[in-house]
Amino acid sequence: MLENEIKSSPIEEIHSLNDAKFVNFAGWSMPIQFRDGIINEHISTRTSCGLFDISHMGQILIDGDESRLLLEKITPTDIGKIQTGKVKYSFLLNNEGGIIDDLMITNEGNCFYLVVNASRINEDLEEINKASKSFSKINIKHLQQNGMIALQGPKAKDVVSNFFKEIDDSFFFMSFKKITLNGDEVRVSRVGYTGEDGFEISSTKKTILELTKYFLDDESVTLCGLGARDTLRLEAGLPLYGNELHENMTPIEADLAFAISPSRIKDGNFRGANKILNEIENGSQFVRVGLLPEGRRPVRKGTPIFNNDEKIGEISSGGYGPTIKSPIAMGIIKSEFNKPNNKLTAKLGENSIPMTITSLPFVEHRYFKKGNKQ
Amino acid sequence: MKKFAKTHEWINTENGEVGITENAIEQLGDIVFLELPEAGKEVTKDSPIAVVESVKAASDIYSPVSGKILEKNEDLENAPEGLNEQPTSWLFKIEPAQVAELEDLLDEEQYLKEIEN
Repeated sequence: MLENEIKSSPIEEIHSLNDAKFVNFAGWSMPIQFRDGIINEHISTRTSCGLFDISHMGQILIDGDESRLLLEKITPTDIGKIQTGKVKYSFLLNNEGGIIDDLMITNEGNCFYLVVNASRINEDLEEINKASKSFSKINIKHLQQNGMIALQGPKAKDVVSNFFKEIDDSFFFMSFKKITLNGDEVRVSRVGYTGEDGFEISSTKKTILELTKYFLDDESVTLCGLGARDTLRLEAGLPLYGNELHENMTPIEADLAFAISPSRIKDGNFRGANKILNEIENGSQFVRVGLLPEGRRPVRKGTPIFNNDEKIGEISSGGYGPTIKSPIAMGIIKSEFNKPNNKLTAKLGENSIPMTITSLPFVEHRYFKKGNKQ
Repeated sequence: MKKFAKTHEWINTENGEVGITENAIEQLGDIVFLELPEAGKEVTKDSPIAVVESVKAASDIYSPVSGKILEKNEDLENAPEGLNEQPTSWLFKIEPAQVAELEDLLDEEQYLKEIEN
C-alpha cells in the first residue's frame, strides 16, 4: 500500500448507508458523524449502546521469549504482572520520559497484543523495532488486515453477550478473550474510550463486517462516529494523543501516574526514570487539569489560559459536553496554579471566558469491575 | 427575495432578516452556541459580527451588507439548538446602508452553484 494512500475501513459500506460524513483522520477516511448527529450518538451511548468503527487503531502482536523484556524496556509497566487474559494501559516512552504513544497491552498467553493510536503507528513500529534489536527471537507483526469496532454503554454487555456466550459476569473491565468464529480469531477486550462499560472487538475485515451488521440489528445499538467518540472521551476526562499527550510530555505531567507500575517506580529502571521519579517526588512543572468554562461558549484546543495577566498554559481539548449540557475542557497549565476551584481565564480574541479548575472526569466512569452491582 | 453571500449568509431583501444557509447548518452539525450582534450596532459588509459554534467547530458569521442592526433573535441565542430544528430561522435584522450592496450578492442559483465547487 502506498504511504500516502487514504485507507478506508472494512465497514465503510455500512457508513455510507447511514449518511456518514467522512473526515480524513491519521491517513484514514473515517465517519465523523451519521444522520442524527453527534449529540444523539453521544446520548445514545450514555443511555444505551453506541457502536464505533475503530478500524484505524494500530494493532501489533509481539511474540518470542524476550518480548516481556522488550516491553519493559520501552514502557514503565511491570509486564510480568499482567496475567494472561488481562489488559493494561501503558505508554511507549522515549529516553527523556516523554510519551511516544499511549497504548493498551494485552497478555494473550503466547504473545502480547498492543493497540496503539492510528496517528502514531509509524513512530511506534519504528521504536519497537529499534528496541527489539537488543533482544533475540522477537517477532513483531502489524495486524494491518484487521478491522475493529467498539460497543460502549450500559447495554453493551447485553448486546455483546447475546452473540458471544463466552462473555459473562466474570469477564471484568480490562479482561481479554480470544474467541474463534467461523475459523477466524476474534479478540474481545472489555475496555473503551467513553467512560462507559464496553468492549473492543477485533477480527478479519469479513468477520468485523458480519458482526457489525448483527449488532446494528439490535435496536438498542446506535452507530456512532469519531465526533461522539471525542465528546465522550472528553467528558470521561481521558487524554488524546496529540492533544494532552506528546513526546515532550511525561505521564506525570499528563496526570497519569496511576499507569506506572509501583514495582518499576521502586526499581527506577525505566526510560526517563530520573525525570519521572523526580516529578513524582517534587511535582512536575506543568500538569493536565479539568476546566469548566462559565457560560455556554466552548473553548477549543490551543486557546491560551491566563491567571490575571500571566499566560500559564493552553487548552488541550475543549468543546461541549452533551451529558452535562455545558462547555468542558482540559488544559495543560503550570502546576503552581493547579488548586481545586481555582479561577482562570481563557482568552478568545477580545473575549475573556472565566474557567474553574475541576476534578476529572466530568461524567463518572461506569466500568464493570469486580464488586460492582450489575 | 433572499440574496446570498459566499460565506453562507442569506439576507431577506424585503425585511432585512439575516440567517445562515441550510447547507452551512448541515455542515456545522449540532449547534450549541450563538453570539449575535446587539441592536443599534453599526456594521460593515464582510466583517465578522456573530459567532456560531457546533459540537465540532466554531465559525464566524459575516455581515452580508453594511448597515445598522435593528434586532437580534434572542430566543435563538438562548436556545441555539433551535437553529438545527428550524434551519431557515433568522439570526438578526439589519437596515442596509446601500441598496447597491444587496444587488452585488448572489441569487439562490448562483449560491448553489458556488457551494457545488
